[in-house]
Amino acid sequence: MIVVGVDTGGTFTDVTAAEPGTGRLWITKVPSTPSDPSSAFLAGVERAMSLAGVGGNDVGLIAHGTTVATNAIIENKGARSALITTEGFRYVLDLGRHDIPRNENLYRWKKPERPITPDLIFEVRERIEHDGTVSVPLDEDSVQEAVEKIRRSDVRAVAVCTLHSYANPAHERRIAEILAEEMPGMLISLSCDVLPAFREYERMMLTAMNSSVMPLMSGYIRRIRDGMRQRGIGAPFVIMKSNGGVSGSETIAAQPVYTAMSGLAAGVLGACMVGRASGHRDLISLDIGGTSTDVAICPDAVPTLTAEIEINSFPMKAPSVDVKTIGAGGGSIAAILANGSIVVGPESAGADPGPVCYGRGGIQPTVTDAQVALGRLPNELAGGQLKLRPDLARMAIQRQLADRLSLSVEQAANGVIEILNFNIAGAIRAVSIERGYDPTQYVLMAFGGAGPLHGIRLAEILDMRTVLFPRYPGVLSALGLLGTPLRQDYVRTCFQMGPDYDAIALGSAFADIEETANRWFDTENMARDMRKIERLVDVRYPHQGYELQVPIDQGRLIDTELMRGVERAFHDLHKRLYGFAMEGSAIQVVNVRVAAIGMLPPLEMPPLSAGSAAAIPHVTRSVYIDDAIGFVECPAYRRDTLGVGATITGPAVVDQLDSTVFLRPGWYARVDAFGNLVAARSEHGDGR
Amino acid sequence: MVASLSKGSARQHHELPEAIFREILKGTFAATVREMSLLIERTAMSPIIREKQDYAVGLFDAAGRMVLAQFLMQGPGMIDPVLKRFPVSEMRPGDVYCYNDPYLSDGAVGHVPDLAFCLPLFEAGQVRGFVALFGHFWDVGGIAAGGMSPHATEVFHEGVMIPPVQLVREGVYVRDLYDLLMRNTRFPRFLDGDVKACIGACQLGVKRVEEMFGQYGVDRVLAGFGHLIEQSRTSARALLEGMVGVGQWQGIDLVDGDGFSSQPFRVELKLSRRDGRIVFDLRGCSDQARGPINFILHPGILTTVLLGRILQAYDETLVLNEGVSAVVDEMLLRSGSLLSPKFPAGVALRALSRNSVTNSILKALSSADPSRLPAPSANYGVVTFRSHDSSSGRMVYCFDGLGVGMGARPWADGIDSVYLIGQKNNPVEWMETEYPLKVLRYAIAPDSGGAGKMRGGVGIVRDIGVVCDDIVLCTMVINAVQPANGVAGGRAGRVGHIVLNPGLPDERPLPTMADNIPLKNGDIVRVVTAGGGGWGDPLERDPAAVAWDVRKGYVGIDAARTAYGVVLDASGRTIDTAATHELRAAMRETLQPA
Repeated sequence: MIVVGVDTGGTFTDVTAAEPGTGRLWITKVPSTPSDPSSAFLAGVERAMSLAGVGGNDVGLIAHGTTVATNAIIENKGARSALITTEGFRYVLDLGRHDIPRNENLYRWKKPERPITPDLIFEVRERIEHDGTVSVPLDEDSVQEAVEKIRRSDVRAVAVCTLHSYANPAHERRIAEILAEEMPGMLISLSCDVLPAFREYERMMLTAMNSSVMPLMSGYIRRIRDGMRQRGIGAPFVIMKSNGGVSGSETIAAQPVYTAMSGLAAGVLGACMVGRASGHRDLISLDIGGTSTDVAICPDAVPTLTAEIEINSFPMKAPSVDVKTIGAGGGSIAAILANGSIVVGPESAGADPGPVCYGRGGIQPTVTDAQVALGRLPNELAGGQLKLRPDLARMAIQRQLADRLSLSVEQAANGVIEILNFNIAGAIRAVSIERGYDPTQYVLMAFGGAGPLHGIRLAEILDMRTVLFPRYPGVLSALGLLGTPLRQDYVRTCFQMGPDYDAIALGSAFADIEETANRWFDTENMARDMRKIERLVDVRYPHQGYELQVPIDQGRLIDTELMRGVERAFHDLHKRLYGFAMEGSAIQVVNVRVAAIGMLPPLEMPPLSAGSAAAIPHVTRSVYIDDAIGFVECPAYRRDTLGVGATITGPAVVDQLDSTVFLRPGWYARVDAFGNLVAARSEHGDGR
Repeated sequence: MVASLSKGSARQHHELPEAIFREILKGTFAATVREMSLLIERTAMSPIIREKQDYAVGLFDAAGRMVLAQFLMQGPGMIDPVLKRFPVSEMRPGDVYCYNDPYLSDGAVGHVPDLAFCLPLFEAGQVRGFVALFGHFWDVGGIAAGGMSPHATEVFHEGVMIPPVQLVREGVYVRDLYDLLMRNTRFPRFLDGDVKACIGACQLGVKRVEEMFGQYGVDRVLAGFGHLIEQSRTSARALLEGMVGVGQWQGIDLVDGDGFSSQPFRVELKLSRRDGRIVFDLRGCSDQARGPINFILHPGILTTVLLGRILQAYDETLVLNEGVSAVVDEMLLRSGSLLSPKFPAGVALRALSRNSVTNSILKALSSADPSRLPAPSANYGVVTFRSHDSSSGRMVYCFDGLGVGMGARPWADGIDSVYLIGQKNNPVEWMETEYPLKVLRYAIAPDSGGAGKMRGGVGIVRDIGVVCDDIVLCTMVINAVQPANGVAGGRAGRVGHIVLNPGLPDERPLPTMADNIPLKNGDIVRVVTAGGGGWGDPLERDPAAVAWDVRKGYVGIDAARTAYGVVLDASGRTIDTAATHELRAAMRETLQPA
């Protein structure tokens, strides 16, 4: 029996397969098929089956990281969808929070078109108050009128978001019943299901996004399920969500918006898995790809979550792995602007023509060209399929950067890399220092095509002591899919002002969402003993606009003593995050939350058996270290020759099929039992 | 955010070429300012700072020059009042300076509710720069909660005035001063929470910049400050010179009134470029107002904020800082006028005149080159509701900011229904939970955007119901008389208005600049805000864009015909191309001057 992980990327779809119990692992790639990613998905599953030599019956689970929702939301290309709302509030989405984003110029900025436009938004007469009382009963005739208009609108999904539905969902549920009767088969999203939390714009936006992604996701899942059936695969099919857990495809089909960060989350989960196996549990994951870089912090090998994500300046109040993305990576173009500033990204050379050094017609120098000009990459990539042209890279840097800045080619190339490095270091600071974590106590896990080139230097900038280069830096997302627990998050607004909390109200709010969570566990066929429920409360000082999450003990009765503990934890957290606490002040509960986690058997990472413990370079390369040291003749190792215990001392480079590790002077690295290269600072410069 | 970087081993950046290092520094400064902003948004208590986000943060050099900031409508000049009063030699680490006096700060803070905090940056015992922040505070006393009232005819009516003082001395709050401040607010919990949040954010900024001093060396960081200012100086001047040729250009914009006089107030800008000098002459403005619409125009705010934002539209890399001030060689004001009022004239609602200054700049630049400039925008509106329950002692103060339409641009329609930059509305579900109010409608105002080849942004409609007794309304809604004008053939946006109990027997219009309007349980106040000016000939607007506006409800089917000459079927879906062509031809004919 095998489990299969499939991660859809822009160019390739990465596939992993593992045989639980034996530690066997297969890794492969198939070209992505952006017009219908299910083709690449199924091709990848077939490839995995043939590598493992198994048939459809032997596939026990397929886990998937998808970009279907991500791309539809980022490109605003969801399906045509309608929305039903309370009379008087047709324009809530258009109005938004009536703000121009702070970093934008008010004369240049254009308000982006919403996922559902007002021509497809219909009002019904009803009104529920903030305490849940019905002040205007639902006028079903007005719902019928809306239904008639929707019928004529040629939409593929309908969202419903009425005022204060988080406090009483009765009207939304009734509207859904009418829709289901009148328009059988119509895909329906209710805001009381998608995000039962106050603030109408944020709730309506997430519901609208969900609705417009729903038709795409259900069709996609259907095509995959059909394809699985044709191949005799009856295994459960789960999809990675933004929150770093998976859910069955039925759940995802109803709430696809919760997969907007699916691919990103899978990468972070992969880093956590590798870190746990390797015995490194406090991690910062660093994924440097062609056009972007993603960083996340994972204390005790668990990603932190946030509900403060924005896409296209739209709020996305869905719990998501707290990944900070910057729009620059290996393929980013370096340019000098009219005012003399040097920028690296967000323009990118993409796959075609690619960097100048690919010799395919690229003319603007990229970060990769800078690396090539400094001798850090081998002369050919991908096992000889791509011959690099350092001469072209150097010429482009010379003409477009160095000459105009009166610098040498090396200084300019090194400068481009340093600008990107400091930009990435800023992102790492944002997820660590700004969240109250000290990066010097963390291990940097550097992966993605370009991560291993930058990892050591970033650790130097941030004073980090250990850098881990995973054995398969290019497929960490697909690895992360194997053995990720099921997870679904539930939230319910429940205002409670301290110190006299209504323990019964809090308890029943928890009981309510836990019941929903258990129903979900049932639909996922999760065994009772594998279910775990974590309780959290969102708390703040009264009148603050942001809440902090404080975990509370699941097994305990909610009483005064428990809430005193919540208060203490909140004051401490506030002090740690913001530098001050207001100990004399009461605190206020805003939401209760539960994370429902269904444990799956963890994946064992296979130990490394190949290679030699003696590290022997295959060649030497002249590598530019930095402006102080200049070029040094460095040993170049082949990653696949390095066995467990092999130790190399910087400066050195380690080449593998899809990536190169650059080990700077002052560092040494040793291969661990799982084939990861773990780098640390040399005490005396000799690496021991 | 408290963890910090220890000072590391020898670092490679010491060797980096200056051009590279500057970019790294710039990124680090920007990250610091962003981090400070996040802290204040997450910890502030009054809705005006945390939801509406009416605050600004910035880094300044030791001479008080703004280097980099995340700011709204003020920021330049914030350190000067402190430097004038406190010699740097007496400053100590941990000191916090505070003020809100618009007159002593020459308009660096615009009105009394804006409290400024300045913290010196130290290296080797010397002041090397400042971190500063201002926030619009919920209430610091004054004539009525919030201090913002058309009746606030003296600056004293806006709240307790604080000259530059030392609020925190070497890390310790000056207790007497703090107690005095807390006694002068109706909402001490907000004031206390917001002061802590503001100072917390500044302290974070100080920590970050002082870390940079340690990491990179103070001289290199200060050189980075200087370079950023110089870069902006060069870019900004070149941008403006590219927009105005030699000659004199004029822009006039009108403010509705001041709540006392129904006569409009005039902002008149004469912009001249002669003999290599660029002069902004604003002496032709109206005399100062009795009502609080006076605007103490700080030269740095004219250049870096109001003009700088416009210049930045043509070069998004332009960093708005002290360097931009070099864009103008001289600014001429007349003492006793609207833009240079005499103490203690009220300035609480100076934003109204400020918007006209911006519009006068746009108009003057447009007259130099109508093809490139956006049309004027309407100014945001505010209504507040106040009540005082004498039995419980509970005071209610709801501040509701209302978006408007921005001017159309040659490159795009005007932005619909927004309230300046980065300032957010009150969510209906929050407002109803917090106040005895009930929002019955929140929508865009159809047909309010000025017609044009590019349409002006639309304003909003908000119907707010009262669900308690004994509450009063204060209205501060502008562009209810004077519209945001169109340019290059575009039409003006529609003006706003306020009406009580629309559609009911006791319907009546309400004044748009007034206070203490009594309301009773069940009353509904409808506020309609103004649209932005249009750009270019409406008859040249793409009929498909007009049809889309009709389907969205932004433009009525009648206005499509009368303002744009576009003929649509009743659903707005189908354009009658032949009829449109004919109608537009006929309209062009009648519009042609004989």
